[in-house]
Amino acid sequence: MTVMEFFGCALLAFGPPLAMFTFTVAVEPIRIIILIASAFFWLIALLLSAILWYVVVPLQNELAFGLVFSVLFQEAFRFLLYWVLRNAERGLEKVTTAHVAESRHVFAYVCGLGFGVMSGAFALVNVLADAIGPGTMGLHQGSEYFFIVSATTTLCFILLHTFWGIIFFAALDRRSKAHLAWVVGSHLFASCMTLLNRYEIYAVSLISAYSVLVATVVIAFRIVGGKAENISRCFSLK
Amino acid sequence: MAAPISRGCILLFILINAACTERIKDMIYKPLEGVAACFRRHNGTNQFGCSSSRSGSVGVIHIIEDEAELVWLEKNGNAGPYTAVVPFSMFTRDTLIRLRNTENINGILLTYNSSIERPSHYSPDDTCPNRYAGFKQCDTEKPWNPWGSALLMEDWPFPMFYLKNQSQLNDVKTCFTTFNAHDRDSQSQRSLCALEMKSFMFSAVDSETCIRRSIPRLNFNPPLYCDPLGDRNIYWPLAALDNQTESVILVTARLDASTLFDTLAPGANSAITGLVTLIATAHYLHNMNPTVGKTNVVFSLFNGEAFDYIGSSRFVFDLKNGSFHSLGEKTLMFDQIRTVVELGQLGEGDIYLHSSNYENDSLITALIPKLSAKVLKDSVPPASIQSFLAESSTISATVIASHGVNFTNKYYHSILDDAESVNFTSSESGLAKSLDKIALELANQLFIIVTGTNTSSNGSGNIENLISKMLSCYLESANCSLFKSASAPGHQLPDQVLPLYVGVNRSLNYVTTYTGQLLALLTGTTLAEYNSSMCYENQSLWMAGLNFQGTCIRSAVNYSFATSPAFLIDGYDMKSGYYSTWTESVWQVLSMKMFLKPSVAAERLNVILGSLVAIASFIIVWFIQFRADLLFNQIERATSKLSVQECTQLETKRRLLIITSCNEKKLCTLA
Repeated sequence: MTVMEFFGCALLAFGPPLAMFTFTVAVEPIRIIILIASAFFWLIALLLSAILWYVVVPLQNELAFGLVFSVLFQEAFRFLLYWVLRNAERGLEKVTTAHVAESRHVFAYVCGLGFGVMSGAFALVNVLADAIGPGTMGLHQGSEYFFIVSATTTLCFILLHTFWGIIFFAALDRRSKAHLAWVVGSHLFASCMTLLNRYEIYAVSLISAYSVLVATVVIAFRIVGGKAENISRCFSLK
Repeated sequence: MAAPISRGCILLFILINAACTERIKDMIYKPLEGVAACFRRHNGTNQFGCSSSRSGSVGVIHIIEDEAELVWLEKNGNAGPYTAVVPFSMFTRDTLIRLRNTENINGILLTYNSSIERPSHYSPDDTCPNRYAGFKQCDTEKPWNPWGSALLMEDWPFPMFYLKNQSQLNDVKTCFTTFNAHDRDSQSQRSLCALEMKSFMFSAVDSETCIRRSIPRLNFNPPLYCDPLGDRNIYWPLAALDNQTESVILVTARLDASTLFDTLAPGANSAITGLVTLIATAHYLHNMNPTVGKTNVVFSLFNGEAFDYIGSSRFVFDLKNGSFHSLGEKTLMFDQIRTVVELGQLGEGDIYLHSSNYENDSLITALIPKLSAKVLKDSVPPASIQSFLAESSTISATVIASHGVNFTNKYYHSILDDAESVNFTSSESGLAKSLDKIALELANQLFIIVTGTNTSSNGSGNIENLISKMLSCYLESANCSLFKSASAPGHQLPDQVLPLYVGVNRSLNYVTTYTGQLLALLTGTTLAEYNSSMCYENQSLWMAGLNFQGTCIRSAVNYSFATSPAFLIDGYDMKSGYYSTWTESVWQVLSMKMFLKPSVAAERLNVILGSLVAIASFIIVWFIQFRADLLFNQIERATSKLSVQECTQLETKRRLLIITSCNEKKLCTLA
């Protein structure tokens, strides 16, 4: 991969999250704090799954094992983050002018973005860092689309985490088991589909991940009170 | 590493068909091991050799095996820059200059397929080796080395590597045929197999400049850019010099060779034949056990002779200054040297004596009939005697060589100047026989002159076998029985042909050490009663010995520095050309790797796609943020058009009812 490909992939994967951060998170200090807190929670989830993988020696070569438990740890820590934030709401009210309790969706969104950005960084930075150089994939094996597929998948998972965050928090607020199940289930499904990448069927994993993304976006949109007609109204109002 | 767990997709990318430890770059790159690189050297006025760019030079592989491929590269190569992969048959000055002129070349990989016959001649050195140094200028009409292509005497703008490993050579060829060879005219539209050569040289311009840059001035710890070439000379006096000694006969040979590539300098004919004959002569003479009178013999092996006679010029410089102390307590003076006999490039066939001022010299005149040699009067080949003649043009000097006015060696100073070029195999002893004859005759004559008697060889035995073993040590592998005997017991010897390149003066050459110890073993006195610790106490050498059990050897073999006087003299004018001013650049890595280089179109597509997604996302997010209220709140069109008046009413109502709704509040502020 060359420097040009490096920047192409970096922009592709991290451009949208950067835009979201700039316009929606950076405007309020408390949101930045919460973003970093949630990223930290994701890191702890990663640490725990790494320890588990390290301890269970016989299954170290089984990718699916590490993957499933990693997903479960992440969801557990999402719940933990929800619990911490809800308990901290009153305290947060005191240190900020924002109305925390009144903008729960916003904070759910920020938490999701924190999860997404950190997981995206871990997914792609390894690839990017190892790959600055004059060459591209394909000499021994692998496809020349490897890097662009990596970047696209990473972007998909960053966005997925963001919307999963919204759905998950709202579902806990409203005790909606169906939504909870959707988050955990679709996370497992999308992650497991990436197992197919080892056979270089990138199309399957990409299409399934983006289908899940579309469904998740629709659900999240409805949860925060969006309606299809609102979208057209946005444009007509110009 | 925690990465394997992070999340499914990460792992999967990393682990495609691979073990946990394999990294992405292992899948992209194939390092080519066992390559030798061309590097940069300077003299007082210029730079020579090759260097890659700082980050490595990348070129698309193109195998040039015939003229047609070369022409294609010159005319149609549009996916460049290229790396030309050439066999010896195409590695000529003409081809390289043509490739350089295309300005579309980022490297040359020289390959050697041992199954194909070697080229009829290949010598990268000048037609007149050491052209600007020494006593006698070479005749450019009838040069010493007519096959010289002077590739060593050129500053190449691209790196050059040499690859001999056949399996890696096949990898390169397979990669070329798979990715590059088909649809050549549309090469620029697809990923191509490419090589990256890393051989960045730190120094530039000339020796003076790079040494000045290394001197601490502003920076207390300046980086090192280049080092003077140099190593050690080896000496063995037949007897310790004392006040009785009136004159000295110097028997010399050179210890070094050079090539275009690092770590490869076999120098079989250029240096080894003379070197081995010198050790054999010393061994013979030692075994004859002469009583030394007024005339002594000093055997010396000079290093760095390929680079304007570093070793011999330093020796002469030390003699002149009276600072030569390597032969015991007595200081040898230049005037004491009566004759210099140099053993040059030797082999089977006719022997020539390139002699100057020999008419009155008993040794040289006696040697002529004994060796049935042809005499070339006042002929001075590029050899160590140049340094002596430059100091005193009346000194008696001769070079014993197997060549007349032209070298017979067609691979002078090249990587092909190896065992095969001198027809040496351990079982075939033709070469050893010829060298043995020369050594024996020379030893006999030295014996006669030293002792003043007229008896020749007293049957010291045939050492043809020993010469054959020595040749095997130098030409086949250093991991041989003789070097083992001459090293400390248990010492691990490198299993390779030792490179004879002189190297830089900061590091000691293996070949000098092993040669010195071998000379000590073959000319020293065995102290049978000493064990290893007593041996060290008596300042003797403890080595494995011929039975590999450990022997204590007392020997007069000694070393002196072979660094050019140019680096010793304060304010020496580097451009004067009197002493050798060769320096070698410092480098960090010499490495080469193969990979697929993406096409420019694919790279552009990647950047454009990334930028478009990033820009689009900025616009979309800004838009969503701007219209967030409309998108996410269920507000009727009517309420969204509240007038200021209505708003005030609402506000009043709210105050009354003390019921607030977030939506209304926001709308009012908007309004």
